[in-house]
Amino acid sequence: MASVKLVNITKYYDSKKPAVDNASFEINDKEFVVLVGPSGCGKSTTLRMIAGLEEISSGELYIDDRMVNDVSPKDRDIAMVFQNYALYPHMSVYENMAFGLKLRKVDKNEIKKRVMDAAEILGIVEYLDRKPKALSGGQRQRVAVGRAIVRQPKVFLFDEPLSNLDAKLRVQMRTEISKLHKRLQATIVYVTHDQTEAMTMGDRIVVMKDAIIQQIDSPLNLYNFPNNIFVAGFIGSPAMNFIEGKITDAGRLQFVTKNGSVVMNLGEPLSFLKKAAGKDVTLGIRPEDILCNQTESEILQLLQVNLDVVEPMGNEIIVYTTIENQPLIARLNTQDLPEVGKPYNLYLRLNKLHFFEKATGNAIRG
Amino acid sequence: MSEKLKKILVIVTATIIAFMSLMPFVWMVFASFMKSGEANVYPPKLFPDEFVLTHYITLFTRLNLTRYLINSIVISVGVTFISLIINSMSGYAFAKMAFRGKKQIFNSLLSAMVIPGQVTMLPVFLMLKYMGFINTYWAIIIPGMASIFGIFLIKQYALSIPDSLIEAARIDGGTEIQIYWKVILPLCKPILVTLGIFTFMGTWNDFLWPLIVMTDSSMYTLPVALANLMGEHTQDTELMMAGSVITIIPVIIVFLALQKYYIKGIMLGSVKG
Ligand SMILES: Nc1ncnc2c1ncn2[C@@H]1O[C@H](COP(=O)(O)OP(=O)(O)OP(=O)(O)O)[C@@H](O)[C@H]1O
Ligand SMILES: [Mg+2]
Repeated sequence: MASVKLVNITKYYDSKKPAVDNASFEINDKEFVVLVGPSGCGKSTTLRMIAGLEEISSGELYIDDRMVNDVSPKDRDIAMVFQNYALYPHMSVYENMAFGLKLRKVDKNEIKKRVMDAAEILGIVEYLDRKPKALSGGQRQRVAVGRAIVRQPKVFLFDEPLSNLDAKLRVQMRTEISKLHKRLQATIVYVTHDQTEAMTMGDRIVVMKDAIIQQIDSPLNLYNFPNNIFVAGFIGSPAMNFIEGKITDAGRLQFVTKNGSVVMNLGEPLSFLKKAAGKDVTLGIRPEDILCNQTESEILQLLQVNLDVVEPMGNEIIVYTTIENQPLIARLNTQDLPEVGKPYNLYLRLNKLHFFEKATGNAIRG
Repeated sequence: MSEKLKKILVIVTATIIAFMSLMPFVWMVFASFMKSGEANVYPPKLFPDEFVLTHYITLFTRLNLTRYLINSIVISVGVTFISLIINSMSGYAFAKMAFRGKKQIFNSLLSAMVIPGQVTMLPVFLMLKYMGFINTYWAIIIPGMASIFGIFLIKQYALSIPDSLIEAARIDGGTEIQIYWKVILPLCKPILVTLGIFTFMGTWNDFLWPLIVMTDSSMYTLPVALANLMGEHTQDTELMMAGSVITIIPVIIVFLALQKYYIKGIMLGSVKG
């Protein structure tokens, strides 16, 4: 049983601008929550406040319903894995993992058992006598995770643990940490700036930007129902396309691009946009919601374009074009290579269109 | 070809310099085993005709050198260990801890470095006198318990230890003392050894301060005793040489024993600037 609750947590390093502004969310027992956002948005600061490494300027932090604002890190029953691993260079792998237990005066045999168990799980038994210096990046990462596991803490905190690994190893460790989470039934808070990591690992994702939490939701909800234009653009790769324009309601509800070169009829499922009539909006469409033929039974919007770049990937073709100088990327599920420079028909899935108020960036929903 | 020539030139030069600086030491050692008067003959001799231990025996029996040796050892070891602990604690604190006035305190320490030691001698002497420490080991140990240079050196070194290491130890359950003792000190080993050697040699070889604060001849350190000896036995070169050999042996032992770390420490320092 371990849950973490943040209530209106704010952090000021200096008095000018908060590094974390009024963050409130709850991490349930056994949940894997990912904090994600661009560099400098306050993810690490949030995590470090949970760890007790950074003082909380205002707000309340609870671990298992105990307020821990003034509890020192060692008494919070948490373990943290750092981006640079932070292994003690003068200790062997075994000693690194045993260090926390020794300090807590755990029985020697128990220490040995726990370290061996963790080493077994992580596949580092053969390195137990080595110094961290003699390990590869991936092995060090495992030791760092092992050091956290042996403590059997209430909450695991990870701060960008994979960002120093090469791409392939990163993918491998990603799945391993996910497996570990299931196996240990652990509560995990995981910080990353990589949205793919966030999407693949998190039960729920907290998206932050400029010290403020933008949205907290499951990966699929974030993908399908982004609250604002930032979340929409941040989640998903390649990123969502944005086209600026206006909603008009002169007889028919329509979206008209800024210069009027594209007019879309918004059908029945989008009738809620009536309330935005006359307003400047940004239309969002994901590259995978753009098709190259009309065979499906969905309502589609034809878009005639000239392709700038065509990238055949094998399983799909990625095409690049522009609409009124705004880039548009589409992932087409076809084997017929389109020709660059020739007119080409793209079809947007109407029910997958997203609309955001130009003024606030907030999503317009029914 | 010219590469090779350069190499040879360097080696030859180095050999000559080494020879010139080693020669006096070698002669000192040999002369200490000569019979009285043999060191002053012309033409000078390098090797004694016959190795005799009389001077060493004289030193340790009649001249009470054991007492001075013990004084020197107690004082030098004491100063070295106490100053290493205090310097490393404060260097670590200046490098890694947040406290009010940290910058100001450190800057004022640094600016105090420009004050020459001679200026503070009298005030320190008077303070020690009021405290009743003149003619005790404390008269040398207390002023040597911390040095600004040592604090500075360790601070610079400790800056290179990543914060996350200390934070990891904190999360692992370490108290501040445990973190200092089990994480910081082991990591600072090269610089501690370097500083330790500096301090030990400096204290061991120091002449002026012991001369000032030790007025009772039984409290003399080796260099002071040796100088005293020189006054009394001006003629007896061989005896002086024997005394000098005794004086430098501990320093050489310490240096050789810790040489490995010492060189590591110097190199680390040079890399970090
Ligand atoms: N110790 C500090 N003192 C002052 N400002 C800090 C400190 N640590 C972080 N900040 C500031 O707080 C803000 C948030 O920093 P934080 O480290 O939480 O970002 P992050 O989201 O983890 O970014 P990244 O992805 O680059 O790690 C930044 O603007 C940063 O400059
Ligand atoms: Mg960070």
